[in-house]
Amino acid sequence: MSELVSAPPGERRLFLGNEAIVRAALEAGVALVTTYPGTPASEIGDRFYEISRQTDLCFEYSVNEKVALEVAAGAAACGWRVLTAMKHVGLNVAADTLMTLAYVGVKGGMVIVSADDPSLFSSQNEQDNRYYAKMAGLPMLEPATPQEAREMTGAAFGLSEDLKLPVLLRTTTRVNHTRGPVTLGPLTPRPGPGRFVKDPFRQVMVPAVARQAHVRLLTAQAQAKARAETSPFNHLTGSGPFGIVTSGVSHNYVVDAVAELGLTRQVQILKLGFTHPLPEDLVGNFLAQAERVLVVEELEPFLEESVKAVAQARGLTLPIQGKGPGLFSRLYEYHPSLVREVIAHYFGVNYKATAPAAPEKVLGQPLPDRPPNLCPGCPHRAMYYSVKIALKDLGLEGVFPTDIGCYTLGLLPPLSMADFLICMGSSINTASGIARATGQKVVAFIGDSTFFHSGLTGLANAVHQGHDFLLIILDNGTTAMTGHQPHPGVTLTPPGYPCEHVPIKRVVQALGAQKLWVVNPFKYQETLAATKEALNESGVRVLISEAPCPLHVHRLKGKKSKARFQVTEKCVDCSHCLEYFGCPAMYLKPNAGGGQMLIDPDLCSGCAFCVQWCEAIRPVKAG
Amino acid sequence: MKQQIIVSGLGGQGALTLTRLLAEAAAAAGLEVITSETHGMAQRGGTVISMIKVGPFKGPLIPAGEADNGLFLHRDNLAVHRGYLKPDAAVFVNSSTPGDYARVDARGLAKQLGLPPVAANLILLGYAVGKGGLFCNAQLMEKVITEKIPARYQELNLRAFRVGLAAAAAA
Repeated sequence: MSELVSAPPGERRLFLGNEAIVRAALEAGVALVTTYPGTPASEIGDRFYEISRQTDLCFEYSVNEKVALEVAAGAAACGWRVLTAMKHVGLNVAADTLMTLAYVGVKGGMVIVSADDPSLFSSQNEQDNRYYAKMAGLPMLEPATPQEAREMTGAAFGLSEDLKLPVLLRTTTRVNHTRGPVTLGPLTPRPGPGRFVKDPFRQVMVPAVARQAHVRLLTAQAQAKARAETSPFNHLTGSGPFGIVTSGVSHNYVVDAVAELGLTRQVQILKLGFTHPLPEDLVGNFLAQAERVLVVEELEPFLEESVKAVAQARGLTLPIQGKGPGLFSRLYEYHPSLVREVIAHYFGVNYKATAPAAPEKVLGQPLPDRPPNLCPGCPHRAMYYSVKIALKDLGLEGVFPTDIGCYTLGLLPPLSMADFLICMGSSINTASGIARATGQKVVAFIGDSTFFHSGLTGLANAVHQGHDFLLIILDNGTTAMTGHQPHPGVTLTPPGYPCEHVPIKRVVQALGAQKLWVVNPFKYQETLAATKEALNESGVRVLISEAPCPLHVHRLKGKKSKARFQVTEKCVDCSHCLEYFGCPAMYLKPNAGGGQMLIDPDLCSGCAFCVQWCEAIRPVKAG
Repeated sequence: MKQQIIVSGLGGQGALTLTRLLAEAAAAAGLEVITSETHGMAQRGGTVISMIKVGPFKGPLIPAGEADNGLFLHRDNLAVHRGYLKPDAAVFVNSSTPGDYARVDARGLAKQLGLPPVAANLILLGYAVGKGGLFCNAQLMEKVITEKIPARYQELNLRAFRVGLAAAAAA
């Protein structure tokens, strides 16, 4: 049984912020959870999935975030407590639903977890999703620690039911992936079946109904503001003439910095956890007794703008700043030393940061982080190799719109198989546009999970419009990058995972794509021939590259290939493998003659792909 | 007690396991602790770092130049993450080549003893604990390994940890 279920109430456990959210939802009696995996939210879904296999909790990895939010909205309309979790850009996908769900409202409590990613650790942008609360008119809570994530998640269900509105729980990577002590409460049993009670003139958003629903939403917002004014999540600490307004993980840095700078008797901290609607009276009273105020929040000046508006409305003229030169940036997550420096600077405290050791320089630049890499034995690398060789043989230059998944790691040399990427599903549609505008040879890449998430509509459009590109669906049988979650096309599923299989090939055919190839990318000659054929055709062509993620196979079946390969003395140092394939198991050992190609037996997966095009590579004899 | 520790490695080397064990050991010793971890796309061969802050800290990140200890699962990461360390920090590195740090050839030892390469993480931990460089002792860490590592990996991890302890005693 999962520790999140079995840990007894009253105990203190070390949980990730994401785990604290899961525990709190179970304590609140959540009955249905939906998600589409995405860092930094993925562990929320994964833990719930594990628990759903051990209990009567309803859970699904939905096909995308819009689907997830709507499935949850349906269940919430029947009185169940529901939670849906997604990364920040996932809420863009679900935004159409979110805006009008605010009009429709909920019966059972509904918590929407938005996991934002300042510094873009694993995202395509660092948008600030707090503006969604403002745009939709929904209440929002922002935890700063795992303990607070637990308290706020629990409170959010009650708040949601009182206001009959979904509540946005807005986290950031440093809350999701921080581990800290969490004090546990008792679990609540899930209710039996809910019941849908018809009320079409409140729940069917045609214009006449929606006009009234908007009025109700504004009324509920006023109630939400009143709740924010007295919420225990908004509180004051310290004393003195200076003020700091802060929220989320920034609060932690502020508390440390104020103590380290010896400012506890000079700075009063207004920590906001219930940040939308803004508790304007609380903020106004705080401003009225401060000489100058600093707003500390990552990303956009969401609080800063509202706090300044409160000051204006009250005729207060004290300096209020947050973002700006010499102060905080709208870029990236904050660090303790940055927060300490800005606080010292803004309040005129003499403080000199100890200069950290200068990073070592290589070729005149600090050494960058080592990038993540496609694993040895990854089917994506094998498929990329065949495309590179096919284009070379045909004397063509390809343009490669790509998509979001492990295969995006093909961006870097030597693969260099990514030229254009916006968001989930953009590969197919941008390929359509690029090919239409240029007539260049366009090869688009999309993964299996991403194809179901956002690729189907694009493919139907491309077929219907008669666009001209080759779409390669990299089907590794799972959502690999976020931790091997299932999707409708999976063939390898964890034991006990109930699902109807929706074969990608049949979907592609049903969407009208006539020119279709299916290959196993580890069969080099067949794949190369099929790729050349597909490149030579015109119109929409689809090639499905089918081979499971080896990590997924290993985790599910516990089997690993025992075969290993080595570079023999036949190697002529042509560097072809380094320039076209770039397997992490292959490396050049420097020697007097320049270097010797070798294969690291610990890293070689035994996929046997390279032996099909290099005569110098041969199996290591067993024994 | 205040101790700020970084665990630096490449995705797949088991930095998260070390982070979890150190945090649980701190909690078991009755100390306050928070961690910050790298999950998600920054994995599989990419540079990763976790931070463990033992003591009354609120913020989960360690400022540059303030870490008391560094556990490096890969020597090349020193060039990237050394800036987090205090000038007099205790640094433990999985490396077969000598340098200005305490080192143990954890991968070499794992290989020699028939352990999988990933067990190098617990060997490095055992070495650091054996050298007395961390807030906790070997007995406490063994208890935490027994309680927190899933049963089927427990023996392997305990064995690797003890290999590291022995290497520290011998060095």
